[in-house]
Amino acid sequence: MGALPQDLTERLRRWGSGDGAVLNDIVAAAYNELHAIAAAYLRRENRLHTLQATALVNELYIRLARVRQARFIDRQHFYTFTAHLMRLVLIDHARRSKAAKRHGGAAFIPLHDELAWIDAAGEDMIALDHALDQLQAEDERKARVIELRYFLGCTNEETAELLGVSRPTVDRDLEFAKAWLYRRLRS
Amino acid sequence: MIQRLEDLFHRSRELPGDVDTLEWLKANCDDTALRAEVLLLLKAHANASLQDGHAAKRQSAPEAIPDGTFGPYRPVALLGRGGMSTVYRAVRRVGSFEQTVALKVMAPFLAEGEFRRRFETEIRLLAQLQHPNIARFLDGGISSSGQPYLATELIEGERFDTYCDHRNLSIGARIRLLLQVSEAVDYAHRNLIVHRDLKPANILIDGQGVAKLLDFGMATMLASEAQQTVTRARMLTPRYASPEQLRGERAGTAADIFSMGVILYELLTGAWPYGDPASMAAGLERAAGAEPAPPQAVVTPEAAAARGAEPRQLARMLKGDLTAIVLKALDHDPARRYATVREMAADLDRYLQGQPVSARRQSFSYRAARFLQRNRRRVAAAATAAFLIGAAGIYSGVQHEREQRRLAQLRNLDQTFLNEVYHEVSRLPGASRVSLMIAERVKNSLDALFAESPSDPKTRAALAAAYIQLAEIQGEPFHISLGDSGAAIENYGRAAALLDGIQSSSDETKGLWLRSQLGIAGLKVRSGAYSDAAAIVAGAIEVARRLAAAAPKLEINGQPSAYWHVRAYVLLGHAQLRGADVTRDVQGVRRALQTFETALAISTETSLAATSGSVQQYIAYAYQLLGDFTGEAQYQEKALEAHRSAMESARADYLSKPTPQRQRDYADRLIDYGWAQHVCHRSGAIPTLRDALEEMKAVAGSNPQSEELRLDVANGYARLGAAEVATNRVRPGLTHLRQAREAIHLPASIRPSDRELVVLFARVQESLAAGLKRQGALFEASRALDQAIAAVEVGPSVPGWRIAQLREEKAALSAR
Repeated sequence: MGALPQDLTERLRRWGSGDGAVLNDIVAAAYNELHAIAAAYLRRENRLHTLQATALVNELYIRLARVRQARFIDRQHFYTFTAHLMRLVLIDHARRSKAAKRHGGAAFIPLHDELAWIDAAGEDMIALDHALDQLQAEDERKARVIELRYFLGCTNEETAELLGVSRPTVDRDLEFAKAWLYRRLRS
Repeated sequence: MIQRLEDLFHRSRELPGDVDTLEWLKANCDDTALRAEVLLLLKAHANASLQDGHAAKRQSAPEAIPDGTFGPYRPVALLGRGGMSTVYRAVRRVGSFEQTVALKVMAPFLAEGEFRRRFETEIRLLAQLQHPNIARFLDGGISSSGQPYLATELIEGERFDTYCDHRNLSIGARIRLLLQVSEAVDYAHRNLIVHRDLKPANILIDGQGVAKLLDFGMATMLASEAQQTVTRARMLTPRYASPEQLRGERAGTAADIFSMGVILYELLTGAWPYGDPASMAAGLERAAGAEPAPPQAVVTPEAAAARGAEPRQLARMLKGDLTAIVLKALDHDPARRYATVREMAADLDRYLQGQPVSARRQSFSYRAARFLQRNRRRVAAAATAAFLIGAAGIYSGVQHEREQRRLAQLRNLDQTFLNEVYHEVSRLPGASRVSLMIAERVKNSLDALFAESPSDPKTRAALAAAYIQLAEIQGEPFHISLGDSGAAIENYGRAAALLDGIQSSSDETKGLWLRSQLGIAGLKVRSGAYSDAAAIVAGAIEVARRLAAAAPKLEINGQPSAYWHVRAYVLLGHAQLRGADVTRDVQGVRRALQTFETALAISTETSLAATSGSVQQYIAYAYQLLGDFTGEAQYQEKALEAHRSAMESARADYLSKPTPQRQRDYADRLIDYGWAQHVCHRSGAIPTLRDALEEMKAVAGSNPQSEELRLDVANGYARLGAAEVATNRVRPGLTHLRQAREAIHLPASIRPSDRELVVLFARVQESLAAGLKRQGALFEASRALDQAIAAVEVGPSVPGWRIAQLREEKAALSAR
């Protein structure tokens, strides 16, 4: 587990300067790194209270910070990118641990205080992924709000700032999106 | 479709209680399927919230106590749960009684690999730690179920930070508690044990008010060399971790000092140095190298109340020494933090004792050193240039060639050294010491060149520019200059002499000439030669007007030509005002007021917002004098208003871009405003003056070489003291006045060339006399007035009325 590979550095920079198509490449390249971080997190203790997104991102940052050029990426890009990455990582982890879970392995880990009914290490995550894809197709911003808020641990203010909308808009988006997700996953 | 759904969802959630949701939906949506979906969403919303609540409850539910024993210890109650371990109250049967301990049980997977060896080493070290402020280590091992455990003395106490907050402990009491902690940390460091996870949760205050540090050795046990960076980073509490720990490097004693810095910061302010600790973005920016916010800037009314202080009071306490200490501990670079915890504790102790702290001294020399380091290349280049200019005068050669070479060198000097370096320096706190060095080095080189009286206009202009720069560093009044007005006048004079005869050659040359004239005029005003000053400015104003009209884009010393036009009028008005003061000439004051109004009009017209604030200050002075001379209260009210707007614009300037000069200007205007409040009998006068004095002392403290600032501070003391004496606070008033007099140093070193100083001295003596009179010390009061009279009688412009006034006061004294 070292610094990010050189080609990823270059791709991060291209993506930062507006080449959106590069994102998929980046995800693929950064994926293993991030996955290792997330897996270590979820494995670490079988009674973690919630997923500590801040601490998780702290680690993520340590890696990204080694890529000096990452500084050239603007904040908004960096955060939305990271949030989306985190979602992919966690969902993949959930997929892999599905089997283990079925045999009565790990305990329930709430994804977030405000999404405490979702098990971050379980099957919920796969359903959540589908639901988020659906939501994104209907209303892209709401999916971003969920990612920033619950996968990255941004506050409502930060989320609003990063997406260039008002705080009340984020509040309303969250109210609706949470209900919408619950409806898709539970009822 | 989703927009419609969302809209109905939000609107039905916001319905008033007496409106039936179903009815409302029917009335507002005729799509049955959509209505059903809205209802399902509302139900989902309610269920989701409910489940979040359940989950929160589940988490706080008590957990089972393990059945087995850990070595001789049997857990009986859960005390806490951390990232990798659980702490229990546990008992051990010793003979006929039970010993109660704190038992820390670690996750079984930790016992893998080389952990065992590290664990045993660490336990041996911990067993040696015996300190009243460290929870005593008793025993450790690995249980039969394979779980590592540690038993320590059980401390019945409260977490450090909540202990302080629950008791509304003052800053002093909090620091004293932290000093106990630092003793423990220092002791451990000297025993080669680093804590690596210092945080308020690891510090308990027991019933006797003794601080006890927990969890020594834990971080070290949990993170091995072999383990990866990321694992190590994950073990720690990011909120209190040092940058090197965040980077995943192995942390030494400096990391503990950093954590102590964060703890101290939070104890003082109630806030995290890097913003909202719960915010991911703040965490990231901090990891990326964000600087801590200045402690006084994060003070909230709640935090102040929890420390038994008013917000302003708390901010004032934090400014200066405590800020210096906290920021030194929080330096990114471990090498620049306190070298030992003991040093940090010594500084905190010095703060409590009211002695100067080392962090402040060092931060000044550090800044100066850092400046030189950062600019070593430029400083070296400039010094070489200065040397070469001098050397060029010694080696003879072809005249023309030599002049060309010198010209190049001079330009280099002018641009590199005086412009870049000096301007860089003047923005730094503590600039004056570096300025002094620059001035001395440069002067010799310039003089050697001047002695040769070069003939080439370009060389003359370049040399003149260098002299002007030098003169400004030496003596510019009301700036953070060295206050050497004699040398400054001489150097302005040399510049003017060099420019004489080549004045018409270009706009730049005219600009230089203007600068030299206004420079001389300013110093003349300063020395009391008001009519000389007025005559010089009158000659310069026409040049300034033409230059501003013909070359509006021309910049003279970084300011547009219009600025110099305004400045010429301000100087003229200043000379007129001071002249009128000497003869108590009401018409003269009105003339000065008109001049200032012209200046204000030009500055408004050319949108020189920054200068209009300083013009306001002079307008205020004029009104103040009119008020004094005519006795009409309306003028004092006008002066108060003008001082207020001058102060407000200086404050806005300072806040928008804090530089030492702007801080000085703000403090200066605040003094004037406070005094005007006093004259108009406003209640806030003394607090304003006190704040102003603190502000001025802060600038002066970091620029100890500046004579100007020394006098600015004296002026602050003088106004505060006079206002106090006049409002019956005689004792503090006299103390402040004596401090003012001490700072002025007169009459032993009476300098008739500095009229401002003399006027200030006389005013201080007069206020002292008033205070002494109130105390009944008539003889001392009379002596004080004698000195005031003696001072006013010296100099080129002697105000007869003022002497008469002082004599009258003395006569009134003698009559008692």
